[in-house]
Amino acid sequence: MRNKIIQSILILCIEALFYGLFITFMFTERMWKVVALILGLIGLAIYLSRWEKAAQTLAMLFKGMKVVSVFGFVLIILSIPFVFKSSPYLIHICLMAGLYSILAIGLNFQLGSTNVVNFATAASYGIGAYTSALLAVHFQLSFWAGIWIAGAVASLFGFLLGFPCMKTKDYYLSLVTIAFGLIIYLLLNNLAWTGGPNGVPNIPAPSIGGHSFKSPLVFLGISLPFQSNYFYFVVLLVVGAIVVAHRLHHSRTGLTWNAIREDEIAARCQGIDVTWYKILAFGIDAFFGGVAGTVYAYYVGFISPENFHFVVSVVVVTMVILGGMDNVFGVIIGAILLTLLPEKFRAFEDFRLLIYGVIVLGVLMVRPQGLFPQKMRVYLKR
Amino acid sequence: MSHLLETIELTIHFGGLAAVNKVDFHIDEGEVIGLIGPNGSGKTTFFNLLTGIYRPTVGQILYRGENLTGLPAFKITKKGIARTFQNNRLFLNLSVLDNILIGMHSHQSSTWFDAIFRRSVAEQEIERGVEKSLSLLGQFSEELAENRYKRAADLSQADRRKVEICRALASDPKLLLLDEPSAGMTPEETEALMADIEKVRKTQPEIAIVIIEHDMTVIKGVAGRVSVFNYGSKITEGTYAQISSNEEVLEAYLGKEEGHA
Amino acid sequence: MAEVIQQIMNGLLMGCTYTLIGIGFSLFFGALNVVHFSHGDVSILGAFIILILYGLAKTLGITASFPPLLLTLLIVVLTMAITGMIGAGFERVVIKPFRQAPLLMVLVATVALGIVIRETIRLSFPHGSNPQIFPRLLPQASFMMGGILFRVDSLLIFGMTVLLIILMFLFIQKTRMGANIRAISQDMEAAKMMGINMDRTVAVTFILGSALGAVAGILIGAYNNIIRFDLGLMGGVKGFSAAVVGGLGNVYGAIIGGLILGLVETFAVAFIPGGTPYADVFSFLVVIFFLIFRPSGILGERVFEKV
Repeated sequence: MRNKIIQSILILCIEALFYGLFITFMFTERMWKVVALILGLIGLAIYLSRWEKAAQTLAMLFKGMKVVSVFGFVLIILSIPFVFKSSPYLIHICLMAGLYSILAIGLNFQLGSTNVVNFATAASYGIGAYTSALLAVHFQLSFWAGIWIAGAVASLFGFLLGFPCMKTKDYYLSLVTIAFGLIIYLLLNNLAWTGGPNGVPNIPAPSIGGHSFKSPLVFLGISLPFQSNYFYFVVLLVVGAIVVAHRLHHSRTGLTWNAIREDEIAARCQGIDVTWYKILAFGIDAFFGGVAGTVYAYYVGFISPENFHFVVSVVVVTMVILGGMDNVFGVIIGAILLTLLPEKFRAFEDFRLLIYGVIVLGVLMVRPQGLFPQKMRVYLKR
Repeated sequence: MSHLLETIELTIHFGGLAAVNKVDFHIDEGEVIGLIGPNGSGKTTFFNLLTGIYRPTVGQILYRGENLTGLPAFKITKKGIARTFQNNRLFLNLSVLDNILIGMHSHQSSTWFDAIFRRSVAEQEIERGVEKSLSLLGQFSEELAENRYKRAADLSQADRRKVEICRALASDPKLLLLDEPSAGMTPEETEALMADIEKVRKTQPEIAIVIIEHDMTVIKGVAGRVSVFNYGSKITEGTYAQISSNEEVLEAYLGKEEGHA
Repeated sequence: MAEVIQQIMNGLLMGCTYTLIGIGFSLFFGALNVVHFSHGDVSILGAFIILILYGLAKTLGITASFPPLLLTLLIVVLTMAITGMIGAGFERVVIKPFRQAPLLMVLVATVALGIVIRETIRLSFPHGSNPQIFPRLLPQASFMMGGILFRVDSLLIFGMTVLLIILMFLFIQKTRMGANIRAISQDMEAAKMMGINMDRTVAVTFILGSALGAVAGILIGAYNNIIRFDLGLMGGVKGFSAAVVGGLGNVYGAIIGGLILGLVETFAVAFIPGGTPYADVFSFLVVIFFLIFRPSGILGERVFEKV
């Protein structure tokens, strides 16, 4: 019993330490501090990957006391708006990291699990955003209905796009996804009813039980900036996304996707309808994109085609490749890293895309499985 | 009484060349047929046709009287035809157990919906699959069953072959197509392979097996009938004794010592 | 009727650029079974290189002393050579490492490379995000004949494209290296066994494809008198589409595919009211059509998967 208490305290201390570093990182304006922190983290990562025993002991520690680890982690997440309430922009960043995590988890079904190249994430993001925004502005449809409809519409596009293309070779598919993204952007920019380059303004904020998401969130007498509303909602969505991804990965579906990835011909000979499973991955990915797009639209309050350019697709692809193919945890880390770091390196804003391109090339050449490679499935009872 | 599998004038053209040329072939339940012939004589292509990877240009494939011609590969597997590959196509980054579990795909039915919303149904199906896979694996190799979470890429050639055969058997096939299973094996490993094939026949006597081989020891040991291919056509068929003294067959293998290719 | 002929000519002209880029895609696919997504950006890079060279010539005062046509020719050839080498260089650095790897890696890597090229161009030029003025390389004259407006530069572009295609044809059919290229696209293993130097042949293929792409970039710039850093993305997509429609891997198919796409776009813009912004959508629809009904393209792609 005493051993467990010591372990719990240790876990909480480690988590607190990382939280402290995170908070410092977010608040600091000084470039050298940022760089120092990052270097320190990289150093730690290299150290852990070299010294197997240390890494293993840590992993065992956290796995052994799962409840405590998760509890500590949940506390951290819930406390973020409180800690950053003086700088709402920081909450905004965390919120965006969450949205991108959802996009990345969605893309992972195609890119990570099935190795299908999809550069059209921006398209489903945009379709979701525009669907819910237009429904809200023109038909006064509430957010809570709109989000699912937007997800379904985006998913429908995914299926429609998937049908003609999944039968064909992968390189055609990648061409089609790139072209599809460009086309959607063009259409959004030119069609009258999408508002053209001006987009859709004045999207009403959602409300729950009379509390509007636009107004500050008051909890225990503390007033949190309005971003917190969206932040907590996004956290819920991310948890949902993780649960769905986990269940799919450990199911017949996830296994089948991996089989297709490893050897498509052999997969066919195991009775796998490769075309259907690829389309399925596309549809589910698009659904995630649509849901995330809806939240984005309502959060920002107005959307324009610029928000859904090809660039966004590239960013999400980079997140998945960097984070780890078919590893939900890795993909989230990738999303967080690539959302947080550019914020701190504002001076290099112009170089952002270039850096992403270089990162992708680098990762593919040096460590193609990403930071956190896929783990072997273990069937616990046996 | 229709044969288990029958092909009628099965032909496929690649460009101007007939890789498989008007092949009439049949096999019945419980039979083991050896398929031999020089390299490039169309044996693997024949398998590819049977399993639906290629579509024939002319001809038919009848399975239990049902016309399978033109069906996609995954539907053909569901009917009960399974195979291994010449160059061993395991799912290399997945574990041994996962590889065999995937073999059961055609007999499972849980969907993505089940995975997310009806978890117990999905999980139970997987559990049953895991049980079956392990017992199947155990029959072939205790050692492999113990190393069930080993990455397939880390296995030896012989082990990979075993896993591939297991994976093929996992789909409960009525017809098993083995493509050069003994390639690259030592004589001891080949013995073990032949023993494994015997084991399969003992536990499931109705399984029909077609085995492509260059190693005549295996053919002599397990095949009841032997079909000989050359330049895409089936030139003759018979028992090993018959075909090994056949003029045409010797001509096709001219220059090769009898017994080993 | 004159209107239709006018549009046909416009279409063929657009088609020329798509063809030149599409040939590259087919060449690369034929040689290495690889779709080189950054080829469009390499082509546009060619246009920017000529910008640099021209600027250099101006500063060095060469423009004054050289006869303009000769200078232009020299600079174009130099640009083709430089772009060709860069293209081959990219193959060595970004594509070769992935020769044995799953397809996904090459695809994503070349898309990433395209981004790197595009961004580097944007960052290297002052006000890189804005369209850059392109030197006036082609005569701006035009004349009317039978109710149709003929631009001299269009005719020149068309003529140049035809010339280049003929030269390429001669190279591939009549030279030793051309035979090597044909050999490795038929059967890489056999070609290697025949003693063909893979690396060298692949390099030549990329030099050739990239040089042709550079011409496409130059032509785009010369015709519109401006050039933008991000034309490579759309250009690449269109060029790839041209290759697909014609039959990926088939160089002559790329020619047909490019012309078809050019015609479709031009006709859509001309004859469908309000169609201008959607020109790209129409080409895209054509490609989808082919992917569904005839994925091997018009002339058929070369595909062999060993099972």
